[in-house]
Amino acid sequence: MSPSRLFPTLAIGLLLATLGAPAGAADLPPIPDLTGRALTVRGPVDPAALGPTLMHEHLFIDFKAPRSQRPEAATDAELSLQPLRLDNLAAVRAGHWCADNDFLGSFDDAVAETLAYKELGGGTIVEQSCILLGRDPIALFRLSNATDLHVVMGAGWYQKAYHPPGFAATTVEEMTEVMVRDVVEGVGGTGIRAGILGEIGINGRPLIDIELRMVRATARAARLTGAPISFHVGGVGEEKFTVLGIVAEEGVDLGRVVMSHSNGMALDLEFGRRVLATGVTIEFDWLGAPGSPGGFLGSYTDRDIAIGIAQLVREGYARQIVLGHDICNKLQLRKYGGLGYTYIHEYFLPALRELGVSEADIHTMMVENPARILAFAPPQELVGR
Amino acid sequence: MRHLPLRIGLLLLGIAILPGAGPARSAAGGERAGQVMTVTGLVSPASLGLTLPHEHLLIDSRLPDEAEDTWALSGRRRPTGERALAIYRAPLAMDLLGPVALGSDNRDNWLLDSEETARRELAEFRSFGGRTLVELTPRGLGRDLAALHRLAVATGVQIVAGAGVAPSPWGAAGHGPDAAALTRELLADLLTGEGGVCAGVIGELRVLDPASERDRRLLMAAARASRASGAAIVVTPPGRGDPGAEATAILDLLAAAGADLRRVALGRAERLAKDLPRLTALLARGPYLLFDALGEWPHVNTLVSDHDVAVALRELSRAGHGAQLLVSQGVAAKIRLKAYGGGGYAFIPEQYRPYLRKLGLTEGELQALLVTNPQRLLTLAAPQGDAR
Repeated sequence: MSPSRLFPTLAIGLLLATLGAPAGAADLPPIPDLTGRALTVRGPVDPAALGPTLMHEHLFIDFKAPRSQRPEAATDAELSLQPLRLDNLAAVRAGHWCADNDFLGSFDDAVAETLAYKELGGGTIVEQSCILLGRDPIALFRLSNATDLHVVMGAGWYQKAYHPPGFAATTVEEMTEVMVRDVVEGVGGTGIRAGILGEIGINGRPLIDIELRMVRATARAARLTGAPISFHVGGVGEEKFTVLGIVAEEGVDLGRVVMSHSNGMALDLEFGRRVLATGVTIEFDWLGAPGSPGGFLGSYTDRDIAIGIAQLVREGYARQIVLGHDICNKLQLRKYGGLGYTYIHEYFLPALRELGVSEADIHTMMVENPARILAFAPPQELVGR
Repeated sequence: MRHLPLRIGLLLLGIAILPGAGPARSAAGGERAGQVMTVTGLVSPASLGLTLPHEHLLIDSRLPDEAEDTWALSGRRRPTGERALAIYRAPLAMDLLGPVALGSDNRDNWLLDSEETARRELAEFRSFGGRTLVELTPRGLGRDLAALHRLAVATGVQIVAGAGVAPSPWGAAGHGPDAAALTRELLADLLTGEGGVCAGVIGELRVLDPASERDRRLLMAAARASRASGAAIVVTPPGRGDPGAEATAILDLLAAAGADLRRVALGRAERLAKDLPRLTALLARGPYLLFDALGEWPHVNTLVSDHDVAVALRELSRAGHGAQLLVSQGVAAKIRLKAYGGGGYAFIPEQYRPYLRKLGLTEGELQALLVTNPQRLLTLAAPQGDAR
């Protein structure tokens, strides 16, 4: 989505707010009832048709860091401006920042990489590039047609560094309206509709005011449209309960919420169980990534995550677990030395089986949970209206 | 690199004082004690600096043929099916790095034959403070002592070459030569060398099956050559069975053949990194534990990660075993090179040393691990009588 799409919307919102119009529901378009249907870029489908689903990916994304976040040292900057190639791959895997690595823009590459996933039986990809992350509804629509994979598109805003200028002044009502329109009318005049609110860029530590408003707006958009929610991190530690508390306060069933980037919960099972007790789904992602930003060195591996998942499944939590690669860097793609959108099917699921996870539980995590979550809930009035 | 001319001068001096061709065994051995034999000649142990005790700069460990038993002996997984075969036969390119890192075999991956690539990767090692690298490619796997000499001169990195024979299926079929012939072969590498370039350590001894006659003879020969030359032994267990049992069997055979186990570095120690009691039991017998698979891409089939090794290094150092620990990357395939997205020879000084610091290893512990332990390993001991 281009930034120019956003500014008129905000301007209208601000104007209405200035005039003292009752912000919110009154300005919203009529909301269709998609109860029980998943909303893909090609339109609503029966969730039973989705098949194995990767819940958190990016097919097209541009999240090259703003200047202020780029490396300062000149030799690092030299590397950061090169295209990602075999001769600088080692450095980028080891964590040297490279702008080209943070950019997926080739349609042909995306088709080739996702067809490999389809050949292994893949059915659906949830694409969580949202506003100012290079979200590209037409490319997703074309890709879905070219591959015959289902693609679900995201909505909302990512983390603070990627917010549009002046975003901090945006009200909950304005944010809600933008997200609702993306789900109901489609993005940027294309008529191509978002089927999930995400990835919503909540980091926390500490939760800042704009994040708290984003959470509330996302919950209201979910309440109004019935769309599912996917939070990026969604707060650190106890902050997750604050975030989920706001969602519940707005009348959204926490079964409609996916907490992305939950790998830590496979290591700290006690905390994981507390989060699971709220009814949310936790997502293990960033699986199979060949280094970057931490290089090959880290305190845990995908093996440790798989062991944690196997334990949670033994305890009966399979219905609250989903998986994804969170591909957002070139180096995760097969073409650039990675394992692409197929690592989970080729390597991670076999390891889970080896660790004792049953076919039925894998089916639950890969097929049933995504189908249940992506199916829209009935649209409802906002709480207290 | 600004000290390079001086360094080359010293290296050439080292070559000049090398004994000429011919066995001159005991006299040469005696003169060498207390020094380190590099491919450019004898050097003072104090000159070694940060040292990697198990690497390969040039190696060809592609399988010699496609026979069933060759695959079985190699311990590699034979590719079957259309996609696996396509990956196996293709030149290693960027789009194959992922599957090959996760275990798909690729023939080209096993060939390091570019001296120019080796020179660049070695220069990278030096730029992060690396000073010495032990090159353990055995005879029969593409060892090229003249090329190692050129690389040392070109980069200023001191290289210690290994005296070793290729394991089957690359080497001799069946039981191979007897122990006496093997001993003579190892001693020739250590004392006479090729074109004036001598090996400075015995290894890599890649043991496939400690119970086999072939490996028994190899270990016996290594023990005898070590006594006769004062050179240390670097041995690589099979890595297929129980790691503790494999290590014990190897140490038993070496000790029975008269080796001083304090002159032995036992590779693949990472397999036991999560089992400190067994590592401690092995340490009690005197050898160095060599963690020599560092810098690989960790994934869902990684049973022991570099982090696990780091924790083991910290705990063993704290428990007073810091003088018996060694680390290396064991680069022997293209995907491990920086040129192919890997950590390269510089991984330990560039990435792992800071990581170990972060985990709490002291400067003294790091100095032992990276400098003084390899220095002690490589310093030639006084020869012990005749080779039996």
